[in-house]
Amino acid sequence: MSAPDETDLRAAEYVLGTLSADERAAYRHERAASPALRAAERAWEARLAPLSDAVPAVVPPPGAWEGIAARLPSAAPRSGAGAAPPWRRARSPRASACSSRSSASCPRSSDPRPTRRSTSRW
Amino acid sequence: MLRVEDRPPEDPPGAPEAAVLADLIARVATGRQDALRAIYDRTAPKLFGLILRIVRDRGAAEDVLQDCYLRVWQNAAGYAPEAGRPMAWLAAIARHRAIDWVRRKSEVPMPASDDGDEDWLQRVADPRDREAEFLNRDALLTCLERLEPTQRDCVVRAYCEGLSREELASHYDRPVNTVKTWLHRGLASLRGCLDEAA
Repeated sequence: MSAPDETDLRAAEYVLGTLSADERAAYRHERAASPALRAAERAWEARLAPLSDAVPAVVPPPGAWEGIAARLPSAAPRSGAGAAPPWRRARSPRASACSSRSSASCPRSSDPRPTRRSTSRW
Repeated sequence: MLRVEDRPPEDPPGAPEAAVLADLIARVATGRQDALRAIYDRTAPKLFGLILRIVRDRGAAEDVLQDCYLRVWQNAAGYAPEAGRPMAWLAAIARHRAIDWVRRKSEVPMPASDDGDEDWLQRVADPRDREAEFLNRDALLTCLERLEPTQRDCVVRAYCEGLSREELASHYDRPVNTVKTWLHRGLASLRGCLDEAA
């Protein structure tokens, strides 16, 4: 009884977000080899998901999409889909060198279009 | 930028948002960047709200938001509709990216936010603030109401604000182990109640 409970509570706390960085890393390591942990995690995500409705939506800064598009693999324009948008033609090498893992500390991609990036802090 | 309540005109009449999102995720899995853009247009304000509440810094939240959609791009093939609704899958990616960011940022707990009296449960219950996305909303609310108030507050504030055990301990001025016990009891009770309701 205690072992399943332990598995379930670890998954629950991972989903809740209360674990430390080290504990989160250890959890993910263990999860890779544990179908039970993955199942428990899925169940907790589903249980708690309605809480995410409590958090008000906020429109992201203009230019946020362009930062994403600049880091997608460059794709040939689809037939009939028109030319690639300007940000895709002017990719920033610095931005593309940033992996998704480390990008929170990456330099912002140089967006060829003028942006009005907010500097306010929350 | 679309507002949350906007519906792009190309929706098939009556198509539930979940089905539309699931279809778009399936297209992203085949490498369709336009589908990722469509998901972004539909969900970015919701995900940015979740991220910003946890990260509490607009510049960092924008970085995390971008990471989040790149993660959607990379992992779309792993989305299984039977494992959960698409909005829950997207929200989980956003929350976990944001929580990773705040946990990495500093080992020193962030000060508790000023708006500690925010009534998250009231917001969940408020029909203006929700789409009919989560079918188990009422059961969750009922079961949360049955928890000890402190256990409930810990669970809800951890989920909505991304607080760690240490931050909760600091907020309640109690030892971390006490908070851990509250969390575990609260989560176990919650699960028992929800399983009963199911």
